[in-house]
Amino acid sequence: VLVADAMTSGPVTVAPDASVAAALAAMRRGRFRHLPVTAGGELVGVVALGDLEPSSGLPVETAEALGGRPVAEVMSGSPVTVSPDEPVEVAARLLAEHAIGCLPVVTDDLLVGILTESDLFHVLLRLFGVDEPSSRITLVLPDVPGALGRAMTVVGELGVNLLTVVTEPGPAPGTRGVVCRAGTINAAPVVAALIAAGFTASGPGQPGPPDR
Amino acid sequence: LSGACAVAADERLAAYDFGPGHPFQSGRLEAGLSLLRAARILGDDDLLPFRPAAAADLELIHDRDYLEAVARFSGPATQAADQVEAVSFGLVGDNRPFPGMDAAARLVAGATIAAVDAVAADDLAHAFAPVAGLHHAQRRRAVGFCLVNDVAIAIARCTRARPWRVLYVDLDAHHGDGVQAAFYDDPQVCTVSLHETGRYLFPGSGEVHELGRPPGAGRSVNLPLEPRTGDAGFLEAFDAVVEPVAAAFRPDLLVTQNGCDGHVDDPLSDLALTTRCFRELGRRLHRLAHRHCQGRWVATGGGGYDLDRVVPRAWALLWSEMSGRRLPARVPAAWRAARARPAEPEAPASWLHPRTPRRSGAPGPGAHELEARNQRTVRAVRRLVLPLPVRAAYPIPRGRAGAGRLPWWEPRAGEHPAPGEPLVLRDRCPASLLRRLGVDPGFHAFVREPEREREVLARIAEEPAGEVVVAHTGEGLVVGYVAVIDPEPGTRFASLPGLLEVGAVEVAAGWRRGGVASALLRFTVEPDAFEDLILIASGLAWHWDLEQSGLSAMAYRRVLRRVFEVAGFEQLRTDEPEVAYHAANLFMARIGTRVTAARRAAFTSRLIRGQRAAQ
Repeated sequence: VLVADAMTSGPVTVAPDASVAAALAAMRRGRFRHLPVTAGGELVGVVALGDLEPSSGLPVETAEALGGRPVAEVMSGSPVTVSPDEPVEVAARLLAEHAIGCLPVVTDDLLVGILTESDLFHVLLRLFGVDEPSSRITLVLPDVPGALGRAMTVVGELGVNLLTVVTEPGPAPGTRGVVCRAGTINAAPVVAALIAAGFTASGPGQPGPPDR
Repeated sequence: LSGACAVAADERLAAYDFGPGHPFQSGRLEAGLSLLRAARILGDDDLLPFRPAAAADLELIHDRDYLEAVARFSGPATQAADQVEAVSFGLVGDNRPFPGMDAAARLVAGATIAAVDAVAADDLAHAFAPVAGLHHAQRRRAVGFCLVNDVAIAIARCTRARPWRVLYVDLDAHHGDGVQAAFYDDPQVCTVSLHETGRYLFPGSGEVHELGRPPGAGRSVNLPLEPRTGDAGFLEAFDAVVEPVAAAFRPDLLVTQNGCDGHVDDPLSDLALTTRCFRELGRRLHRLAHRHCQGRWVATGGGGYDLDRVVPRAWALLWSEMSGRRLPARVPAAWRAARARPAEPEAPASWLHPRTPRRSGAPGPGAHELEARNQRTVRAVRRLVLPLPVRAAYPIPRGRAGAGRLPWWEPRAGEHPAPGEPLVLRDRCPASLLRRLGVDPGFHAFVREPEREREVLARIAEEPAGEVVVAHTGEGLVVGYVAVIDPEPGTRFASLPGLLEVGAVEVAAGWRRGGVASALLRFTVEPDAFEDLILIASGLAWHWDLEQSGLSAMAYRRVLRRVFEVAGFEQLRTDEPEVAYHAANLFMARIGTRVTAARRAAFTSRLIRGQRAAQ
């Protein structure tokens, strides 16, 4: 998945001399928390809801005292940006490293889109396949070549279609955790076959303790 | 014929058969119906005639190109080149095409339609469609053995023809996702699904916070329960949620999906239920239909795949309950002998599972943890979907450690001028007084009888921190009230010291627009002790009586906000999920003048939680 596939293209923007009140109104209307600030299509900054409402515990009305000032005074002037042809995981790392909520997507200084936390959530949903009816099967495999392939062969031989397979570092050193979503209501035989073949598997029929 | 019952099934339904080795095969129909006949609770006169569903009915729920694909793949053999298209419509694996599947699916839908039509027309009181309840099917996709969503189709037909509310209760071990999706924004249909959590189990959805979309917000209810929940835990969850939802929703018709695949001997889930649970559920649904739906009840068979130990007995127990016909003492020996097959588990001789400990499904380590999880789930659902008066009217039968009532102020009485005669305002009403007062019939009537409404108020007054302030007429008729409570345990503001919640403000229909609500609120917060307290109130749009008031949600919100502001409340932003769920929802707080800075800060720091450092 590339940034271009996950981002929102042609986002709503504000000009640097627009008022804070206007920016706030645009955010409320669109129900988003970040606005790129552009001049002539070129990115000059980003303004976040947090910049406009410094203490969000206060009544909404108090924040409106800021309303008359121009956006340029409160925006972040040199935001971290990303290019649309980067892989989405690179963008995720930028968001995490800089502890920020959005990345303007820029080609040659021109703003082409915006990638926010919410966009990444949607990528996550797709990667895990949770928006399709399916059964969840988890595995803990030895972290050696071929282990994942052998497990998948067991599943494939039962004629079951796997919608997604995600792997992550396992609970113990030298292991890998695997989360799959199988496109079947009858997943207990799959789990049973994996266990019979010597794998550590949880899923329907073998749900494991409540905490895992 | 009213008062009669029928079964919408015959041998034609055996055509719904995915073939040998598949859990959903024609043997289900024969295995089930043969036991009903052998037990002499079903005769030929009990069968309701039905026809295959018409295309127009199927298209209430499904897209035409999907239905055409189902018809196309019903031929004797399909080309390998069609594989990709078949997969795109879900016609693969679990739902592999079989010859004649189009006609079979139309028959299933036809049976459910006939059952719902007959009950809606009051030709029958109850109807049972055993081979039905294909609750997973989506608008353009076959899912989980379900080619067409017969229940959704039949319900949609009913609500198009009548301005009715339909309560759909789904007891299958799997989430009733297809039916929920069909009515996710429909205020006429309330879907309630009890199922094993989607953490592992198919289809993976059915979380507590799937609540529906406006204008049907709050009318999708989900109770995801832990694996190994067992009979007792399942029934506790059912009791705590299903009837109160019915009381709040006021349905005209009950449609249920009585899937029995949660049984401990059934291969497809881990809920560990027994036939004892199924019998109890049948009794409760029967009572609910007569209490809340004028007796109108359509049950569908749903899932269940063990044809010796589970499905036949589950159907027999349900139909015996619906028809009022008694089962023989034992499962007929002749039927068991006829079913016996080598290498298959033997059909049990008793209708009910041998008696087991209270937590039948949850022995060993982890039992307490899963019980606690289920209780948290139940509490969250009740809080999200049930207005306070309904929660109080249908309490969870379980004691809660009391904290002692607040000793800070004495009861008072005041006056509010109202058209006709002045109203008496009274705070700290004890339960004994509330039980002596009458109640105006013009309350929203979550609970229909005034008697019940009065009992609701008395129960709130008996809560440890419960405080009821009423406005009543000179004759002692309650026309409005404010209830102040401790925030429910486990909720965001629950553990803060010196914080109480306005649980409900309600004025009877004939007494609105006279300033009663705002007078009551001002009177409530008048005692000096409130200057040491934080009082919160959340207005959840789907609890509002928009019907009677004739206001839009946003207009209602403005009125409500004004009423609270007059009593010193201010609107605050919060991402507390119940409030953030809908734009019309409202969160107000009144922070007393002597509340310490530390307490105020502890409170405001909880308002917004989800917001991460933003750029």
